[in-house]
Amino acid sequence: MNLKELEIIFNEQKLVLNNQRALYWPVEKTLIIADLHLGKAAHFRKNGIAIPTQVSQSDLLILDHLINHYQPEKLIIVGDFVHAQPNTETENFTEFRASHPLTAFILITGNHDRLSDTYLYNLGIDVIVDKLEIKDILFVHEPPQGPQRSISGHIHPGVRLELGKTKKTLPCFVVDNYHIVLPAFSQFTGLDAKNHYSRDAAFYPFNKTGIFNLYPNSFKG
Amino acid sequence: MKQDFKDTNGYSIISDWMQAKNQKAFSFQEKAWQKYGLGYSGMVVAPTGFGKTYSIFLAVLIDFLNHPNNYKNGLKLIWVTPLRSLAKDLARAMQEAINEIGLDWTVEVRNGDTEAKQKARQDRSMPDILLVTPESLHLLIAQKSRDLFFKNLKCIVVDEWHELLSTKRGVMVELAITFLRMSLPKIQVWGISATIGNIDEAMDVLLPHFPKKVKIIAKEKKKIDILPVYPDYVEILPWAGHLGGKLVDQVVPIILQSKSTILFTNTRSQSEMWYQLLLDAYPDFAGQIALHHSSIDGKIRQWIEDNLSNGNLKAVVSTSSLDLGVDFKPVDTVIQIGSSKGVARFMQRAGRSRHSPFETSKIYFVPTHSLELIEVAALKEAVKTQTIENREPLVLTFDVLVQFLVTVALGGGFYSDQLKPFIQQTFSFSEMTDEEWQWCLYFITIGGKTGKNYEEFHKVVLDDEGKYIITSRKIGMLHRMNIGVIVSDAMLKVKFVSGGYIGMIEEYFISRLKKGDRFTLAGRVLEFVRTKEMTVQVKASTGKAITPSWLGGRLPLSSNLSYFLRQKIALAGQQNTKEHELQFLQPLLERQAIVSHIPKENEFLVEKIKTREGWHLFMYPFEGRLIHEIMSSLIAYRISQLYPISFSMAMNDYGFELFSDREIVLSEEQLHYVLRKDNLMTDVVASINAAEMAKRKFRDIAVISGMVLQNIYGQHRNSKSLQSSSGIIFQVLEDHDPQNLLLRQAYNEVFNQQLEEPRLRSAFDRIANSKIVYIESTQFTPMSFPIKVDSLRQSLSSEELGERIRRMQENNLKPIKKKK
Repeated sequence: MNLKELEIIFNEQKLVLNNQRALYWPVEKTLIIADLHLGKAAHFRKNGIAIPTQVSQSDLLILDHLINHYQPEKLIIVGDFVHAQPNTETENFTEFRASHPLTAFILITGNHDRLSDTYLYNLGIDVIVDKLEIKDILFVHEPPQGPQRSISGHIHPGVRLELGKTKKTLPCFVVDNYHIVLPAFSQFTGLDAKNHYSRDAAFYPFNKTGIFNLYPNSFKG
Repeated sequence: MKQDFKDTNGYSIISDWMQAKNQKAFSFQEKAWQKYGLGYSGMVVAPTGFGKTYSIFLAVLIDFLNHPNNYKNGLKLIWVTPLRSLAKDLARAMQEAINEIGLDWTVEVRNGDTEAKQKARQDRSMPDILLVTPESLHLLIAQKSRDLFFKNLKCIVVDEWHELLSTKRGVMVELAITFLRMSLPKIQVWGISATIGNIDEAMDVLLPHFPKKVKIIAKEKKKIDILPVYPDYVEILPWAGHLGGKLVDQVVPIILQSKSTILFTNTRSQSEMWYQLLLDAYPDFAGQIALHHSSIDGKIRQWIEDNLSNGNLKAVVSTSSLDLGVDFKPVDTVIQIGSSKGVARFMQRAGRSRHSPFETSKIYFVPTHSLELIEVAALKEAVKTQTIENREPLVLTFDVLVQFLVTVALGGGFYSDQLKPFIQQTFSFSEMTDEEWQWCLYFITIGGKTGKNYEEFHKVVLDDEGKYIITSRKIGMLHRMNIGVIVSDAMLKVKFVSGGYIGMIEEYFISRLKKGDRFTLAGRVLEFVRTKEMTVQVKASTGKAITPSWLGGRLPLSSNLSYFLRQKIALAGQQNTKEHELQFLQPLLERQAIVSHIPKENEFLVEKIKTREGWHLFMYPFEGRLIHEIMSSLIAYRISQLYPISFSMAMNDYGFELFSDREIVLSEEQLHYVLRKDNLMTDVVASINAAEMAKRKFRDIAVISGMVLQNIYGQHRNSKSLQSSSGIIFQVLEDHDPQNLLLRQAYNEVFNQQLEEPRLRSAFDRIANSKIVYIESTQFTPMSFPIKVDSLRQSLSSEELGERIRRMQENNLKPIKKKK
């Protein structure tokens, strides 16, 4: 894993964005991710669409590296933890969970999280809530409107870049004065590059080699 | 022998019936009737309007009248047409004939427009003749009771085979036929086709390994008159797009003199523009003319077609959406706006006027820039010599095969050993290896070659007897809804805020609009309000508006036409040409000869032009825009191998431009070197982004193979959670299953279709055998000017563009009035 980081200040807090789709809050010793969509590939397979298992394995492998690297006390998943119904990929999560006993797993439920709390507790989730506030920052799945500082996911933001003749859409973090929208943690997800964010939003697209800072006037959205 | 046939009961009944209608059979029809009676399969080739349908449809009736005991209850004849709109009228005509002849057969249609109630009735009791599309035929094969449906089937007819041949729908037809031959070895299959370059191959694809087959070609030829519409004067520096507008005043009288006219354009945006031009030039046309293209609501299109048939419309502006389809009897004039880019398409369109066999079809050609007049000369030559393009059949399209295997599994299952030899008998899969067959079976049963990477995957399962079947109801239903190979762009409905449906538009276009922007659709000016749940809401508006540029609207120049184009240009270089089009262009051609050169057939022209903006390198292979796209990146790549330099590129059907703000240093020797034919494909691959192109090709493959679901039933949450995009799946497979056959197919399609490797090779062979003429100049030449304008078009708005071009023309020279 080639981890590249970029520090930002949000609500007077130092936060670390990285090119592995996660955000780290050093003071709180908290790792934050969104939209893991656990079991999505298996859900596709069960319905007759052949998506290889390695996709979800590599998601969890990256999360494993990140937890080992940051040694967080808390992991917050801001929604869409499980994609659909229980399957082998969700069952295998218990094993992964057990290998990180020192981190508390907190789930902010999202629109995809329709499994029973009992099932989720059994997978090893410690706390299940629909929102959470830490130091005036609201953790919630869908980005709220208005001047409430928040960290959320749901949108799977991407940004379309034109580099000479080639055009490419990269996943990104979107940050304005009040809101942070995280990229989807799962690699098996689409990107939404069409959503219109507020004018002063900054975009932090990334790829395997790095994470970059873009202001709206330097790209075509 | 032939006399014997004419003595038969069936023949005399049918010829009496025709006589009563004052018709006489063409000799090709009689030949088809006779051969059919002898158990032959075959192919009938005849121009539109000569009763191709009767050649086979009546053959079946005659055979039935002669041997009624050979025909049992139920479905006897399946008639495959590519178009749903054709089926209804065809069925009506067949039923009429049957009733008049006095038989009790029924003719019915079954396709996407057929109501469920009707389908259910057919399932219980099939008609004698069923008209289907390739898709609805596959849906029949996906039914459990299929063996019952097909039990007494005697014949399959594939209408408009030339339209299907080079498409994946053609492969669907091949697969369906081979499947039906498994249980019906004696079934007779007949194709009906218009003239194409590779007619023998077309027959072999439809009828592989058929012991008794015959090709029947009508001697009758449709006469075509090609009438160019000349501008008042020759513009020496031509540019594409604006000339048509100036010619509208000449087009109006043509429409007024005719009973009914179809104007063919090449793109939807061009058709929107011409509809407006005609209304502006002659306001009385309001209510008498209509606009027909694939983004217009199906119901409106149907209304237009009906009114065209009834003679209620003076003119219809259309795209290829009216190329095929039912006869519009009142239509006596066809106008082609801009080049048709292909001989077959041109003849097809010309044939839309004066449908009856003995009348001459008249087609007017309205050039969009003066150089296109050379294309008229080329088209005339091609039509005269009947040099019509080939339609290349597709091979090893595994996406279609895996879809078909699931279809067969769904309708009662199959055994691998039994089905495989039949699949290998088809033209498309004759080169399939055992390993590839095995992969396809893996793909539908365990997901891929490495089954452990696809845990829990069960689409098709093997039962205890080794039969491949489907057990899950949901998987069966999802598959049935997604049978077919037509992959549609993401299209959005356009509706008024107050309701009222207008048409469909590509999401790609709408995503660039802001609230308040105005655009045209279906001949109206609309103001964009918002997009809401796959619907674009608009308000009626007036004034200036953007015409959507739809993707994929540009037709590539066919290689046949490019051959004649080069010939005509060379001819134009000689002073004493007799062809009127070339005479008309003399001022332009003289200018080209003075400032540069007119390439002869064995020459290849390269112009290096220095202007205030920078350095331009123009080359003229005349191979069409698509090939030029590849060639320009290749040449740019090869020059940049000599020294670091970057270019921007522009192209049209005649040539391409490499532009740089730095000096392009290129000696005669180096020029030969960059035009070399060695290492061609290696350099092409290095100069383009093959992965990106393959990703685009994979879009269709993912849908056809069932990895991306195009249609999902209801709005069930469970189904929504199965949506994903082909781009993501492409990436996942590249990362984790690079040997995936469907992924490899995407790359093969890039090489065979996008890069057109054979055509590219022959172009470079030709260049290698040509004398390269290398001209330096300080002003744009008549041949380079339209390419330059096209490159500006991308970066400027239309108003800025017009102004800019005027200045460029003034800087170079002034137009000369035509001397009459």
